Amino acid sequence: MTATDGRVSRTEAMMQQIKRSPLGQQVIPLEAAIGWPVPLRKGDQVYVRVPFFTKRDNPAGGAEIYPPSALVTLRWATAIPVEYVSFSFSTPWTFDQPEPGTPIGRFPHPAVEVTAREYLAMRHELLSMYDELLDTLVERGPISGEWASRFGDLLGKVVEPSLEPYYRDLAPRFFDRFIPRKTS
Amino acid sequence: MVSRTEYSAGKSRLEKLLLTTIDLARELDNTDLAEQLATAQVQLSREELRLVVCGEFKRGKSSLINALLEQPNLFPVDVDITTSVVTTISYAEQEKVHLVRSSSDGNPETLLITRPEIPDFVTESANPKNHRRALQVSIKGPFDSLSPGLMVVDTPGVGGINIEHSAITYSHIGGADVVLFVCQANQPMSSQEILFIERIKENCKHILFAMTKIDQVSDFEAVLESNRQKLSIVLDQPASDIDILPVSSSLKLAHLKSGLQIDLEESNFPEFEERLWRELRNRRGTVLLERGVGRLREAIEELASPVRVELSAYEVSTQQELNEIEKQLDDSMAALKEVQANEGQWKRELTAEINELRTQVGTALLMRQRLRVKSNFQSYLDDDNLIKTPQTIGSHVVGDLGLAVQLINDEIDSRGRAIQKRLIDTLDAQIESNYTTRLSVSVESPDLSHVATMQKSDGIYRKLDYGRRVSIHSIGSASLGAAAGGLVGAILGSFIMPGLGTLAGFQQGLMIGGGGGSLFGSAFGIRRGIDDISTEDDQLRRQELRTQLDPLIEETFVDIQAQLSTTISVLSDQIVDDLQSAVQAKIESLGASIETFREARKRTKVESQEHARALREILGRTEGISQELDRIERQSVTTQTMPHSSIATELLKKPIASGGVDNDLDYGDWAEEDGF
Repeated sequence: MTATDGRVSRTEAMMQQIKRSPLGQQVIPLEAAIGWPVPLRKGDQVYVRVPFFTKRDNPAGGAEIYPPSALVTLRWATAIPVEYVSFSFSTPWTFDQPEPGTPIGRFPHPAVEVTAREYLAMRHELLSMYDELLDTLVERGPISGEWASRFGDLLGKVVEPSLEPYYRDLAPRFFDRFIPRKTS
Repeated sequence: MVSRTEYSAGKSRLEKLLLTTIDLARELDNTDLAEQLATAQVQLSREELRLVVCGEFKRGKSSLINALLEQPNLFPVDVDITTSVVTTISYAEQEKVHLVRSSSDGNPETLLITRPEIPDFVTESANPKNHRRALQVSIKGPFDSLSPGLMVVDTPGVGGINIEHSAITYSHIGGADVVLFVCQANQPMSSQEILFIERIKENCKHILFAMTKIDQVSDFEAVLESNRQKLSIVLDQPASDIDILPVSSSLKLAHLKSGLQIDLEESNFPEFEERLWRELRNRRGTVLLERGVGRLREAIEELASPVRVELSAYEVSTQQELNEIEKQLDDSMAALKEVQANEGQWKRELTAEINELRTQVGTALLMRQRLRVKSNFQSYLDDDNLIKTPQTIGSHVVGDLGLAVQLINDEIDSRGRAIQKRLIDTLDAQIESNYTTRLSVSVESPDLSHVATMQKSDGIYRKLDYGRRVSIHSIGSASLGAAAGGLVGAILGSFIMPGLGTLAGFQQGLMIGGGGGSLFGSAFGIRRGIDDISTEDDQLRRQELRTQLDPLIEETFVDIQAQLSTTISVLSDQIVDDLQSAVQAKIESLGASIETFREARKRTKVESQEHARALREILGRTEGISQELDRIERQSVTTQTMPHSSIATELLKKPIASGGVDNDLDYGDWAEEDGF
């Protein structure tokens, strides 16, 4: 898959399918946006954890974003959901949270200096790389430094800065591996 | 009917249009739509077709599939209750059967099993209460009658004791390209079957009918005609146009065993197969193209609608008109805030409606169903023939209980929707009356000098995005009659959209989770109890059956009542949440509209003209796509044959690992840890 051939990757199709699934229609709010997937391997199985966060469109452009509200885990081989967690019930966050209803940031973030077209191209490339990554996790194959560098570079560019701490709480090793923490 | 070449040409044009529309959607920052269209493109290119076989339980679906595929033992038949496992069957050169099941830690896992093992997972006798946690069976094999790209989906029967079966079946109908509905020759279609077909019709327009068990009746024509008449009403077609294919699976299977030609002829399978595959071939191209054309039409409307709304703002004629629009927007905002401030009023209405629901469904309907089940049970006991087969009476009672739950479920579903709709209509009426009464527009000479645009460089996409959002809920506002009214109506919209979908999904899920479990328990209790009845005396049998089944029926209704009470409470909460969210969303949306509108009024005439030109150019592109869709529909909606899928497996992977390059290779161990 290339960034411009218009086809969807398995990861992207899976992400889209969640909201249309009976589970998604039942528990995912209509206005929820889909976050970046997090790979998880347990025993022989590989899973994809997909966070959802609330996004409210701003008429002046872009949208305001709120902390993740839910997490759905799907098995990579079958795309069947295996777990749903609502963060309105309990949260895993290790840092202080803003008052409920307070946005945590904006999309696109002012610091993300890319055009919409560039963003979409990166998004498509990254999601196709997720396919490769997840398949490789199943096979327990090695991941080259070059590939990881490109993946991390893309992920670092598209992850909304205000959501990054939340992602790190959800999957510290994954994000540390591909987006090393900045040392102050 | 068009030729294969014409089909291919239509498909090729449709693929190009999809790509063009994907580009347009991305240009307008509608990434969700672009993604959906990309999925549609993949489906079109793979030429996948799903034939979903469904019907009420005990109608012979499994036998029909066995006979159709000429695989007598593929699916077990004549079992008491099958589990809720969905089975998919498709063509492959080598046979492989995969079972998806929930593993001991609750995660699904896929196992390679053998064909003789299938009954171990899909029958209640070998897998009671689905203790093996089977979810789905996928069978691929060299089934000559299945062409590549065609997938047959066997669903659990609906209308039986287990509501979960119905839910699973309904969930698969949404993804069906063609439905094969199975009924039987020894009884006319029931009202439940007709209701089922009504629900299928909402989701799939291609329905074929098979009438099984024609060997069990001397003359099936009367039932066939009766079914045609009923279907004529529900499908709104002349009875003569409704094709029901009569068939006997058991005679076809007998023929496979004995080789006797007479069995094959009397099974009517040659004609059935010929008509079924012909219909599928004929419809396949139509279905695939229709699916693509339909999706594209929706997409074009989604893209064009906000552009039209925005253009109408620039075409508003006078300063006075603009003042009126602004005033209406402010008035509408005031009305919305009033609704929000006085939510106690509609909550009181809701409470009254919910109390009524509790009385009507939770008490009266439940009572009626309980009496019906008990009265039917008594009539079974009084029947001198039935009493000789206690197991049959048990099956009838189990069926009656399942029907009772189904009816209660349907009732609560439809009443819940009605309550929400009434509240929404009331709120909509309050808001609408508030601004329509103040609407007074006089049209003077065109002057757009005070309506301007945002900066073209980045603003156009933002504004279009905003327009798309508000137009989704457009109600048209015919009563306003003027461009200004239409614009305000479109911006203000209706409350209808946000709630109903969520509510329906939620409600169904809750009932499935609750009622099914308790009923299953009762069904097993009933069967176990009856197994113990060994007496030959009819009176003693009656007495024992009453002793066994009366408490179980009562127990089941106590369970249903408890479940209903919870369901209605949560339903009420959900309606409140939905409406509160809808009002808040509307306030935010309208606030954004007012802000944008005021900004626009500050722009210059030149800017507004430039922006209007850009909008017209976009509209022109969407109209061009629509016209091309019209041409495709006219020329390529039917076809005789379809080529086999030409899409080879595409190896998309670039080298993820470059062997030997890294000294410290990463094998993805970081994925093992779960931070949460």
